[in-house]
Amino acid sequence: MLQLKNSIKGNFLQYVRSYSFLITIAASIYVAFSFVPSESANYSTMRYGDFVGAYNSSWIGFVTAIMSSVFLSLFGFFLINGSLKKDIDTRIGQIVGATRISNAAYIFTKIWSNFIILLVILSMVLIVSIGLFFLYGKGFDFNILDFIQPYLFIAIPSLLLIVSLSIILEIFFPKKVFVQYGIFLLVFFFTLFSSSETENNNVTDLFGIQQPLKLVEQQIIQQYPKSDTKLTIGLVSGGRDTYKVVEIKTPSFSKQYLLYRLFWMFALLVLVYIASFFFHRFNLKEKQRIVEDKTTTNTSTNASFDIKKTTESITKTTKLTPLIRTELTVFLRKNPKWVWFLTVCGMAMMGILHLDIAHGIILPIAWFLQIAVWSDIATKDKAYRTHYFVNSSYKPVQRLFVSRIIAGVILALTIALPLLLRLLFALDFIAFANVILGALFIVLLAIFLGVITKGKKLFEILFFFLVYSNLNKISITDYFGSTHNTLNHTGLMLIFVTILFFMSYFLKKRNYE
Amino acid sequence: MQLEIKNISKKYGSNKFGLKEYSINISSGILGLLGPNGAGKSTLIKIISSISKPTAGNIFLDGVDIVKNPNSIRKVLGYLPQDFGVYPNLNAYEFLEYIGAMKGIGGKGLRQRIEQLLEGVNLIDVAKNKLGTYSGGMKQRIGIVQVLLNDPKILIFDEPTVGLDPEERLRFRDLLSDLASDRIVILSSHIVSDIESIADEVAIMKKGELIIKDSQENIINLATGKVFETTMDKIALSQFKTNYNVVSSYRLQNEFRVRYIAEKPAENSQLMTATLEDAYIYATKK
Repeated sequence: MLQLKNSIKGNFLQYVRSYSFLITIAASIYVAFSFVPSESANYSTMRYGDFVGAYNSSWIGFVTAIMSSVFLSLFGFFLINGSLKKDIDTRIGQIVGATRISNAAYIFTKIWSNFIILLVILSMVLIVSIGLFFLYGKGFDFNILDFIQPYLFIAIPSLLLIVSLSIILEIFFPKKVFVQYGIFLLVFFFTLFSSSETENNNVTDLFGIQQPLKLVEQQIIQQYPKSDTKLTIGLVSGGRDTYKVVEIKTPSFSKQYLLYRLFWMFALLVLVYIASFFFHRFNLKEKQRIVEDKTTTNTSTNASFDIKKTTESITKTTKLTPLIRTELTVFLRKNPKWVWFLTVCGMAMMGILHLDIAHGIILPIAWFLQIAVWSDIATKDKAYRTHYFVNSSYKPVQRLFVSRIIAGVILALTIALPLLLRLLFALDFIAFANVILGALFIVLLAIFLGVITKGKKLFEILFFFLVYSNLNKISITDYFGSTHNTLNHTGLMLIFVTILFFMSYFLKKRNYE
Repeated sequence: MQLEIKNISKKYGSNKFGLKEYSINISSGILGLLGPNGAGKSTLIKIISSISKPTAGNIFLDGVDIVKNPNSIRKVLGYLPQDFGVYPNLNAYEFLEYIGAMKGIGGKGLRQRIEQLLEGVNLIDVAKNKLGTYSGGMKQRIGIVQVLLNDPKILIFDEPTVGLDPEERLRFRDLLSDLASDRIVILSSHIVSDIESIADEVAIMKKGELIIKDSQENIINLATGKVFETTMDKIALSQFKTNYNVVSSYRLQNEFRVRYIAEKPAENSQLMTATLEDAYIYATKK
């Protein structure tokens, strides 16, 4: 028991002491702020038809708990997913595999340490939401239970479910990150949409939001009978000034609801336990060996190290083209074929569909498909342990670093090419420039975040958040000009992109030299 | 070609030194770097390779300070790190062309040079296979090819024989001897025999400092007349180890044959011819 406690503590401390944790905490505080928009904000997070809640402790506690249950689950998955892969990459897994720890014990140490990480983030959201009550909720009494109850019954079980789901996916698809993400997103959106249905369906309500949402809706109907109370949840454009403000009380959680929450937690933990029997225990090399035996034939004779025949002299060159070409080859081989198939489909759709849809919906999705390519653009040398070659190469910042940026932007622009051509033919030069700046921005953002965090997680989460807000037309996150078609936006993005470039460049230069 | 390292220090935190006022002059030939773990060998190699910057001191390559101008050494450097990786989705040609481009070489002759080098390490038949399918020894050979790709004038090898079979080790030593005629070769290894057979000079390091740098002959002379062998049982061996600097011991049926270093020999001991390993143990443990 003590060993398990120490393992959980070790996993947790390893994450907490990383630089990215500080950034995650900062991001959580920002996200918590975004859950409760100010009176002047141009978006809302939860509304029933034309109704939003007055900022009393019930509404703020309820909204932040619901938003945490849904969105912290979404981003939390990307944050904690990969804990088994980390042990594969660092080769700690091979040591773990040779110890006495049982599969179930090891898997559950991962579950609990990941759960604690999400709990810390949830606590930050809770503290900020209480702070927001004192900021916005003037004239209302403070009741701590209005915060504790929804967090305890709605948000916390959801986080445990997400942690369990993440580990199960990692066990069954250890090297297929895209498959893990794909299945998770399917489960996530299926659950979210089924939670929004009018019929009660607690069985599929993983996030535990359906019944509380209904109870709040009933409160509104009681006050305003026959009104439209269709629920909209997420980051939705349009500020509070356009809505009717109603006073909401914290819904009472029924026994049946609490039993369903307990059932789901228990069911997924049982599933984790069953999945632990299928855990590979880091014995993944054997499968790779089979490939090796097939491919590396005719190597029984060893090396002669006779290089006297090496007569070809070398030519000095400082051309970037071989570096860019290889970077593009690495990009091309990084994604599975189905991702490229979807990307090509996206490109075709950008050439056919209405310009607004092509620009506002298809482009961000097509770019998002390249998340695996761009996320480690600045950190792959460490991941593949080629950093010594890179750091001792000739003018690494001026040549290699710049060539990576160019390759990344070439990829982004190639994907956007059908849209760019259409914008050019439509003589919409501002939108044309905005897409180019968007391509530069997303690549430089990946590099900048990679350089400062020395990892890819933060960019992945932020990129996902950006796409989500872009699809919901949140104008502040529109980096490729689908909602802004003004020179001001273009100028602002140009300044932003330039700052990102120089900051990344000098940080990288300091690292190399 | 002359590499002058002058009073290099590398400080970690407020009191811990990876290297302390380290000075050494290196000219053409093979310099073997020896030292126990934590002696600062890898730190020194990283600083010479321009991967890490020293906290203080200078390194001059033919008069040019490479601490201030790292690209001057990068142009002529071939470096094989101890623990390196490859891009698993690239084949040998693609990876080596990439490394070539990083080193600032290219042109039509590069592909042919890669082919010739891959033939030299017997990887030409699998050159079009992805590197992710290579064994550890094959990856090590790819590492050796990338060192030679730009015809470097300074070659730095950190534990280069890891993954090579005994026959390959011998051939690799011959390769190093050939290369060293007009180049600086720095070879760091835990395996004393790898260095013993080929190094023109040996530098022994301990706790971030240079203990000695000299020809093998002079270093071995340090231990000459102090290396002895004797035979004893297991119980006596434990006691013996506390009193003497034991180099090695091996079992002889019910007894142990023990090789040790001492100013005055124990009873029933025989004087032995000193080796580099004896001198290394003598220098680092005294």
